[in-house]
Formats: sequence, C-alpha cells, structure tokens
Amino acid sequence: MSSTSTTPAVAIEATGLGKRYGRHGHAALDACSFRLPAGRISALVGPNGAGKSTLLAIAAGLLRPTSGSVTVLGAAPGENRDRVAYLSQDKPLYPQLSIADTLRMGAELNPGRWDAAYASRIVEQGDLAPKTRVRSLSGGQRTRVALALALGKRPELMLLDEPMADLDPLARHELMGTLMADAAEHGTTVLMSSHIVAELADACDHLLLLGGGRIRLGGGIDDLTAAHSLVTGRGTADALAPHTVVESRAAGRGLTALIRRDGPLDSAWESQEPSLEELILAHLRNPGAPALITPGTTASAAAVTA
Amino acid sequence: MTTLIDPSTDHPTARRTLPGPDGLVWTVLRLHRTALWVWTAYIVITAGLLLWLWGPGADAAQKAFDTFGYSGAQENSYHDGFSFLGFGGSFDARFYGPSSLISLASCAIAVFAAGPLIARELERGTVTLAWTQSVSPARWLTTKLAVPAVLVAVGTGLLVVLYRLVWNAHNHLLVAGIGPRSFAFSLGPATVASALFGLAVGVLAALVLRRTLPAILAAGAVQFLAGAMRGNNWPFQHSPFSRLQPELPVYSKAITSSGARISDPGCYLSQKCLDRHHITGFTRTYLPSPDYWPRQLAETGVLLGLTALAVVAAFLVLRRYQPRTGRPKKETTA
Amino acid sequence: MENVVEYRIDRRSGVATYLQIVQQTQQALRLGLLEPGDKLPTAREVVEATAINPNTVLKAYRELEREGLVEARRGLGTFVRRTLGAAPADSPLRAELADWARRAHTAGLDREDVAALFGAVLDENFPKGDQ
Repeated sequence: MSSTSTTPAVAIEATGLGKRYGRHGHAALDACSFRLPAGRISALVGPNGAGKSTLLAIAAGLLRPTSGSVTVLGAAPGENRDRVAYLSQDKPLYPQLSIADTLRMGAELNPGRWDAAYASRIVEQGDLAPKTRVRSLSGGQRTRVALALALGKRPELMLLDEPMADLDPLARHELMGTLMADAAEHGTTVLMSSHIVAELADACDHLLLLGGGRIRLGGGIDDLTAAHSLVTGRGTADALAPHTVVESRAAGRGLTALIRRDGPLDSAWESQEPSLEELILAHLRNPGAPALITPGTTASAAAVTA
Repeated sequence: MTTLIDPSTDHPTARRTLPGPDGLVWTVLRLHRTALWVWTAYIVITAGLLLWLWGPGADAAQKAFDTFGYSGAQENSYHDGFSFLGFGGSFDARFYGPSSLISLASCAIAVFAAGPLIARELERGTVTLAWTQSVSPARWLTTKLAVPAVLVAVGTGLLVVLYRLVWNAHNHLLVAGIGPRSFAFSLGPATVASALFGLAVGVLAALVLRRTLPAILAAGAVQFLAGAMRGNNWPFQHSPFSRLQPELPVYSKAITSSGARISDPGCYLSQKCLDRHHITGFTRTYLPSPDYWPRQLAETGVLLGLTALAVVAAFLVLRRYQPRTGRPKKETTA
Repeated sequence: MENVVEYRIDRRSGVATYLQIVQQTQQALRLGLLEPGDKLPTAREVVEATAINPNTVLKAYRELEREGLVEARRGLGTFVRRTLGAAPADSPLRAELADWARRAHTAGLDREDVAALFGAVLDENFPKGDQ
C-alpha cells in the first residue's frame, strides 16, 4: 500500500453538518453525520435538492456549513486544497484558454503535484487537439478537460458532482475507466454524485444516500445489500416482524417486500438479495424508512440517530 | 481498498515542477492577456506622445516664443486646428492630451478590475476552478490585486515622470490660466495613487456586487468622481474652512541686447516695438509652487489610505464569499 | 506484454460482476486460451477497460486464487497455475459433444430444448456446490 504513509484512514468525517441558505431558507443539510473511509469509491445518491452538491462544495472548502463540523483528509476543508480535487456540476473552465493552456494552468497552480503526461493523455484519448479553445468545446469535451485538470493534480480525494452527466456512453465508459484505474493505482478516494444509479453500481464500492439533508443509507455496498432482503410470500407486512420493512407491495394473495433483516428470516419467505438499484429506489420511495449507517461509515464523535 | 500497484506496469509517472515564480502570476497574466496588451499599447502610445512633445512636438511653439515671447506662444496656440487626446492641433492643445488619456485610463482600470478581473469570474463560476486547484481564495485575490497593481504603478509612474520632463522643459509655451495650474497640481505621485485606487475600487465593487455590469458601472462612477475631485478641483477649497486654490508663480522676462532682463514691454506681435526695446529674446517659466508637495502628498495619502481600506474590505468580503452551487447553468448544446 | 484475456462485463446479465470475471477466466482456462505461467491483466488494466471498481477485480482474483487456478506473485502480478478441465478446444470430448449437438439439431430440438437437456444432465452429474 502506497497510501498509508500520508493518507489518514478517514477521508471525510462530518458531524452534525447543517447548511441553510439564507437566514430562514431551506436547509440543504440537516444534522448530517457520516464518515467516509479512505480508499473507497463512494456513490453520493439522493433526490434533487437532497444536498448532494452542498455536501460536496462544503467538503471542497467552497461553502461554509451553518452548523456542525467536517474534516477532510484530517483537516478543515480548504486546508488541503492541493490534495483534493473538486468538479462542480457546471464544470467551469476559462473559455478564452486553449486546452494546452488550461493544462498548463493546472501545472502552474499545482506545483510539485502536477502530472502533465497523465493529464494530456486523458485529453488525447478524447481526440482533442491541444490548441482548441475551451470556448468551442461541446459539453462532453469540456467535462473531459475538467476531469483531466482534476486528475492531473494526482489528488488523494476526488469530489465529483455529477461528473458524467453530459457524456456520451463511450466517453462515459472511458472516463470512468480512467477514474477507476487511477483509484486502483493510487488508492484515490472518490466521492461522486449521480442520478444514474446504474452508472455507479459497478464503479462504486460504497454508498452515501442523502435524503432530507442527512444520510439515509451509508456503508459498503456489499454490506448494505447483504443487510437487506427482497422477500416474497403469503402473509401481511406485520408477519415480517421483527424485521424492518422498508417497502412492501401486494403480490397476489401475499406481498413482496424489501426488508432490513433483524435476525434469521422465516423460511416460508422466498428471499433474495436486492440489487443496489432496488435498494436505493426502495429507500427513495419511502423517506420514512429508518436510516442505516454501517459502523465503518458512522462518524466517531456523534451518536447517529435515525 | 488496497492499492494495486504492479511494478511491471507502474512506470514512474512524469511529475513536473515548473521553475520560476509563482504559477498564479503566470495564470493571472495569461487569463488577462488581452488587457495586458491593451495596457502595454496605452503605455507605449502615451509615452511616445510625451517623448514627441518633449522633442520635435514643441518646435513650432518654441520658435514663436523665441520671436515674440509669451505673445508668440499664445498666437501659436490660436492656430489650433482640431485636437483629440493629444493628436493634432497646437502644442498647447496637444500638451493636455496625455493627461486626458491618463484620467481615462484610471477609469478603465476600475472598469477592468470590476469586470473581467473579478466579477466575470464570480459570474461564470471560474473562480472555483482556481480555488479547487492548490490555491486558497486569499492567495488568489492577493495575486489578482498585486500583478495588475505592479503593472499599473510602473506604467503610470513612467508616464508621470515623462510628463514632468515635458512640463519642466516646455511649460513656458502653455497659455496661462486654469490649464497649467490645474495640470501642475494634479500630476505627480497622486496620479499613480489614483490609478491604484481605481484598481482597488473595481475589485471591491466586483466582490460586493458579484455581477459584471453593476460592478463596472459602480466602479467606473466612483473612480470618475474621485478623479473629478483631484488636483486643482479639491472640494471645499472655497469654503471658509479650507484654503483657496493656489496660483502658480510665474517668472517672465524679456532679454535685451545688453543681456539685461526686463519686464515684458507688451509689444505683442510688433517687431518694431521689440526692436525699439532692443529685445532679443525671452525667458519664462512657472516656478515650483510651495503648495505643490503638500497638496500632492496629502492627496496621495488620502488616495492610498482609501485604496488600503478598499483592499481590506475586499478581503473581508471575500472571507464571507460563497460561490453559488446547485443547479448548473444550461448548456447551450446537449 | 500481451493481454490474453479481455473481460467483458454484461451489466444486465444478473450475474455478479466479480463472478463474470471468475467465469470468463475459467472459460479461458477450459478452452486453453490461458495456460500455466500466463499472466492475468493487472487490476488497473481491467478497471481501465471495464470501468468497474478495482475491489471487484481483486475479489475475483482472490476467488480464482482460492480455487487454486491462479497465484499472485508479489510485485509481479497474477499468474495462471493450472488449466481447468481436460477439454481444450480441439479435444475428442468436444468433438463428441459437437457431434451430439448436430444430431439433436437433426432430431428437431431447438436451442432452448438443447440447453434445458444439457442443463439437466449437467446438474445430474455435477451437483451444485460440488466444485
């Protein structure tokens, strides 16, 4: 492991994080607590307005929380700008610069960290001529340049807000591959938000599901899916006690339910492990379901209550 | 997660550290390359105009002065023709051109600082680009202020020095009145301070208003007003609490064939009259006013103080600044 | 260095991603496409091409290692230890199976019939969990 010497075991730790826009405005984050272990590739999922962008911008040191605290790579956000990369939704770039100058800027602004060969390889993969002005690029091409800028600084933590939203499927696959290769090689921690769960299912090994400004589900994807069962059988939802029923729907004379198991399951129920997508959708459709945050993802300083 | 390093494929990555000064300086210069070219062109053209006024540009007026003294210089200025910002016209008209250019430039500095330098970055969100590289907002603003400040101070300072040379060499050719007086009291260190004030005001306006157009209008207006109150146009000069506008003492003599310096006999353009008084030449110059340095230093002090206040305020506003997040701007094409 | 295996990940197959890698490796071993001493692609290479999580590749390689099919040599990579099955692409068994399939086709069985029949015989002779 190359990363143990400098990377703390925790990439992000948030405790009671709150963010309110305006004095009486709506709370984008509300007592949000979690811990993102280093080296994970985490999906940040949630409905529109769940606070995903706010959380990422706070971690990038661009927004100040209204309450609570957060540490990023062991320090306050913004203290480790050189080791953290951030890609906002609109991927701002200077339109008057050429791609080559944009990458040169990356080198100039990240002295001692910048990997010029790596950054230009990402750009070249997209058949982009270095002399092209950023102004004339398509949305997807801009994303590629912005990602090259983010990856070129060899960050230890990448905060990506809807990184692949405007990419065609091929470019999406290619850039996700680049991102995964970077993570494989350097142990980079990645936290990326997306609406497209399928996009994340293969790439991510960790999930943070935001809803109502706090974490609804947090933990390793394998752990989370293993903790739940998709059951079918005769009976009512009451018969599923003591398990927590996240969602249930009628199926003929019986029902199909997504449950969080508490103890062994009665063999009368036909049971299978839910997919990530089923798990997420069930929780999105049922905001009242209690939160589940696995021990590794629980913030140490705060007792996290559902 | 374990890092999967496979030495057979893990070639040493090319890491490059650029030599030389802070990369942020390069970035600021590169981002505002057009403004840099415009500024350079302005300095070169204005300096060229001043050098010309210092040399051949004053020849005709000097000849008229040598023949008929101040009356000759006045007569020369009547054959004025059209003059625009120092181009065309008589020496008297051309002389004030660069000073209009300098006033215009100080407003342009304020507008540039408010618009392209800061507000456009806030508006487009590109500011977060720098802040999420290895650059803190405070360092970003420091460089955004310091690089233009050096260029503005050096450029404007050069013009002021050149202008003073032209003034010292040829002020006897200027038609007396509010023109030379106003000029003499406004050009100096305060000219440089005024340009720097424009920069600070522009930056502050941009950080407070966050939108390009309002910031440009506000900064331009403030800088225009500040410029209008400078030099000979100090406010309150005519109030009982303050002193009156000073006059420039002038030393003006006619020289006779015996070498004596006598008062100008008032011959105007009459060669016969000059011959009668045996006048062979003239000497005339504005003496340094004892008011000049006190006024310049006071004005420079006030302007630099206001500049410092604006800079401090800008950093305070920056500390509270939070970029907009959330919904992305609509892409033009999908 | 040539890559002998390029994994294809089918997201809609319903088979866990790591299992797809395991199965495709086993398939390559069965068909003789991989032989002892051959090097598997590094995790970095796999994830770059497939855009899947590096841990998934690690998990698959651990599984293959557990089955004794491959071994990780520290700092060098993952290497094939032994082949799987005695049925390389041109073996008599394969020829016999091909012959049988032809006869099934002549007998009027369609693809699903053959698959069901083959599956049933497979389950009979190789009960699940008896790897």
